[in-house]
Amino acid sequence: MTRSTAPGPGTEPPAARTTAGGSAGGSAPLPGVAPLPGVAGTRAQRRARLRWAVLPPVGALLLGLAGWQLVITLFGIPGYLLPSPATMLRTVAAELTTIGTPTWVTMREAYVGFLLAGVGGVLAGLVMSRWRLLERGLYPYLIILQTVPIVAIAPLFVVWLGPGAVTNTVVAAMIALFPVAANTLAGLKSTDRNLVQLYTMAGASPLVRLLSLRLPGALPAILTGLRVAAGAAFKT
Amino acid sequence: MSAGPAAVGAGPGADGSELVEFIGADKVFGNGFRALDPVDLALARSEITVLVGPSGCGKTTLLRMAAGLTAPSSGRLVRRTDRMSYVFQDPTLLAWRSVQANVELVARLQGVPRAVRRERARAAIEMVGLTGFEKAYPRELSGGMRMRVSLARSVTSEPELLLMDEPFAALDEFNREKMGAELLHLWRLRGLTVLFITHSISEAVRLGHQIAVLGSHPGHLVRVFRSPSPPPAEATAPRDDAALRALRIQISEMLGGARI
Repeated sequence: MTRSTAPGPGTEPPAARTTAGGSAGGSAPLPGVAPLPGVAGTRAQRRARLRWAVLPPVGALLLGLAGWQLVITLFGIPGYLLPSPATMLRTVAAELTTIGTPTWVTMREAYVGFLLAGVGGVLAGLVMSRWRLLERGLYPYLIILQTVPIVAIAPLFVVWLGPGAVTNTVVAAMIALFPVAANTLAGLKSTDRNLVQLYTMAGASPLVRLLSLRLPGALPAILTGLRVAAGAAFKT
Repeated sequence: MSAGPAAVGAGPGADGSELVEFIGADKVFGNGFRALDPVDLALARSEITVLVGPSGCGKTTLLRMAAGLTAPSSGRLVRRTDRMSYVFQDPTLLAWRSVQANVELVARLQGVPRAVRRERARAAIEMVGLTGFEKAYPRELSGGMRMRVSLARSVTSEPELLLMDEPFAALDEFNREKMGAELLHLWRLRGLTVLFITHSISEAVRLGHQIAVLGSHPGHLVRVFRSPSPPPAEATAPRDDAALRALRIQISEMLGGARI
């Protein structure tokens, strides 16, 4: 059940992102002159952006449901093999608390785990990019951690922390940590060398270099990591 | 041909004192690779010196030495200023900052007060003809415009010395000539001393007061020419095109020769 919700939170941010990029390219007939992305713009522009964010996913959902219903009608598939969308919605409505409560619990665990992984992963990436020795020492184990099956370590955590929300959250965080850490590290290491030289020649301190140059430059990579991590956190 | 009386080609404000001198400066890397044989070269104040030669001739090494980014293995480098700017082959802009912020960047890192750097950036942006584009982002600009931003940025720290590493090489021929004119415009306004790398002989001849021809394997200075008709202080002053053409052909033949 929770598994099927995974693509939702996992794919939503990219959709939102295409929006920002799309509206910048789409609604800017004079490149480089007036309309700039990121700036709020007029009310009409904001509404257009919102439409662009909401309509495509809603449309896709409706199309999917229609296709589903069409297949059932067309091939006469019996309800016990593939229930129709209408049946499903009715059942969900009838069993709302039975389904809703555990879903809410799972979501809470996954989100907290995701949050922990986000913070921890970015920190791990920062630390590894700053000290080469730590990268050499820790990175292999991060990868190994990634390959360990959840079912193999989850019982250990249950023993240590007891069954329940804490364990689930920690496991979710552990699974989601790697993509964030790996992407942060890659992003930080890909800083343009000439820009680094420019900053150095201007007498910028390492901290200024990090905050003003390397971290902003790594943001797209970090966001990619977070997107992957969001999906991963739900899979536990 | 040693270009007649040497001082004739001097640009505005040239008073014979050199801003940068390479004195027998060479470069051997840690692994024993000899990148550059000893070079003797002096950059007169307010003149444009062009380094021209095939790839692997040590042009960038010389430029990095002048910037203090690498030291000569033996010999000396004398630089009589700390106020310098480096311009790269790529615009090297921060993609997430506006034109205004990018132009101000180096001055900001150097701690120039906001009001001062604002004004300098305004003047620089106007100088490269980008007024009205202050709020645009680099990706909204064409390649030539981005290079102008880079050029504007290089002067907001008010340098005496401009170090340029094939700055226009990535541009098409048309934009390249325009940017060359832009550089001369800047030079006229600011009296900058420029060390300029290119592998285009025609660009070298058009821009240089002094043209240093380098060869490769290992990098070495082949010959230094004084331009027979250097960029004039007045933009409208005529230039001796025939003499420039002759120089271009001469350098061309040198670089095409067996020794190089």
